[in-house]
Amino acid sequence: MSEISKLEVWQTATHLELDKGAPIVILAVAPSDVHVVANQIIAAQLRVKGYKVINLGAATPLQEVIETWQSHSDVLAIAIGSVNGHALQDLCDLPKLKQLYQVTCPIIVGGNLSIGAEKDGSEGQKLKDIGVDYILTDVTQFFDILDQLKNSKNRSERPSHGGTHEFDHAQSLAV
Amino acid sequence: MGLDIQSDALFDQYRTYCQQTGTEPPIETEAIHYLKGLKTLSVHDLLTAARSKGDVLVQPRCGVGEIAAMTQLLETLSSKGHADILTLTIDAYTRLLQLEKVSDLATNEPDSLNGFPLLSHGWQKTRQMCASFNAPCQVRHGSPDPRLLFAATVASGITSFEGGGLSYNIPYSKDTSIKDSLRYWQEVDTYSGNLAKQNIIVDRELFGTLTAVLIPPCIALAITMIEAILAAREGVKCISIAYPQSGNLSQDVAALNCVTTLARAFLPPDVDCFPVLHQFMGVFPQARHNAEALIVLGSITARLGNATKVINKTYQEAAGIPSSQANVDGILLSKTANSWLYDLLPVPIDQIEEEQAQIYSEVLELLAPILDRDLSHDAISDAFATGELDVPFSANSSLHSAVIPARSSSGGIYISDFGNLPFSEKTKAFHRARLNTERSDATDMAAISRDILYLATETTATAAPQLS
Repeated sequence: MSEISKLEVWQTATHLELDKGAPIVILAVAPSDVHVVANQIIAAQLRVKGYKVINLGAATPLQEVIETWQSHSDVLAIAIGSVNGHALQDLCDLPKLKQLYQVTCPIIVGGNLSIGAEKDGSEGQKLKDIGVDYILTDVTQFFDILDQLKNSKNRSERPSHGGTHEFDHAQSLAV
Repeated sequence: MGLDIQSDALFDQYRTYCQQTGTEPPIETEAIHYLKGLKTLSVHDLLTAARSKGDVLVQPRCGVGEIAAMTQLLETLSSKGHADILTLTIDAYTRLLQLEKVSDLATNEPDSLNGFPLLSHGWQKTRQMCASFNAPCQVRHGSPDPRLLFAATVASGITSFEGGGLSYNIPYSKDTSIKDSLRYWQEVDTYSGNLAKQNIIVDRELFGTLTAVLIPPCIALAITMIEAILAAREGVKCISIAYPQSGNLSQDVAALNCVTTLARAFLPPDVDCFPVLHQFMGVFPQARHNAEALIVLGSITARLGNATKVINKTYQEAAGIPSSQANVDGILLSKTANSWLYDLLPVPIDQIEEEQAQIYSEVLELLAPILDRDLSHDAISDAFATGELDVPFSANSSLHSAVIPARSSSGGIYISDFGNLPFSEKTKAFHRARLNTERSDATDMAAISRDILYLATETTATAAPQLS
């Protein structure tokens, strides 16, 4: 890994100069949520690992997330953090926006996905039903998923394999 | 973010909001008359009495979306937990003025809200609800622009309101400018000051917890002291300064002691200032015995630091918003702060005094550049722009957030990277000495994560001895 400065690691600016070829990950915190500590640390960890991160930060409207995806080609994944329990309410427009913008990028959601300390276990499925591809129960899963997406992408881009840019989400680490 | 409100029309704007949403607008003179006629003790009354008796008041956080459920929750916390002060924790949509969204959810899915939507339920229902309890209520939220909510709070007969122009911007907004939030909150403080002239004392609690993770004491206290001085200038007479438990007893007691000494130095003598401890606000242990031990540690800290109030946590903190019973348990556990038995514990007085002197001088170093410019909004805004004032892990992207905190081997929170904070070499040397070892660099994510998770580390419960 090349040398990376503190400023580059902790850079929270929305629009970074992106190196060609590095995998791009869009991070955001859900529209009503301002819990950014994990978001910032994950962003920093991804930068150390060589990803190019566009971190939209706290309380980002879903449409802004999707438009950011649209304005950058070759985004590996969109990851949205939600800690305040409003994940389902905050992402309820996802089906409409995915269709409107023809989103082909995997969408990952992690955090505390419903209010209340006692969960009924249905939160993840409800989010998948509205178009979330991966639900995280642990941050380490995130890095595994990204690695897998990156590897799938690399394989599919090799001409000899004749692959496509489609990912088989079902076969991966979704939980 | 931010409504277009004229500075002299805070209450009128709320009346307009009520008209637009089809609810009866409050009449300002009636609202003030109602506040004057309240028979129950105010938060300021309770804080004053607790301080004179050396008691620590206990207040839970609590908020649900449906008003009957909220009433029931407050009833449970009041009757079973004996909470000294009740809370209306406001939902995230109301905080950020996403008012259409919250109106829809309050009507159709109130159970899905993570707090009480005061603006949606309105001042009349809220007033009626609060009037059914002997304990006074406080509104806790996280709004960079609190003006509608504050007017609704006053109309609801509530005289305790959390937040400030810095502490409710930096952790809670991505793009509200510091100048704007200072102006919004100045209106709240001006209104509170005007009420004080009519002998209605509003408790203004300042949120030193900030981003809640590894906040160095000097930063928590410098930010809240700026807000306190600004509030006092507007005539506010009751200021609670909340400090977040770090977990290191000496450092926490020192910081709480500093609240009083700083208030004495910087606030007019007719302003009542109360130290408040927020039980640990970072990542909590999952196992109940560890979570409750941390709550007890918070209670001991509050007592030894002469906090007037503690905001309690519960053993369910790691999982989400607690059940009412878990909250009752957390309140009762926190009330052990009032047991004299904690006085039997040996206190590391030398360590506390050393930390206290250090924190005090660090706050002075942080405040000096802006005090030189009379603590104007421009000076404060400029200090954040240059990084002379800074907060780790800020949600507001205009801050540098270049300060990197770290825990010492004894769990105290110090600074491993100072960013542009205007610290003396002596202060920098103190932090380096406390941290003992230099971090390899500020990109050492494993170390930062370890420090964040420090108090969430689980230990195996020792089996309780069996009586035969």
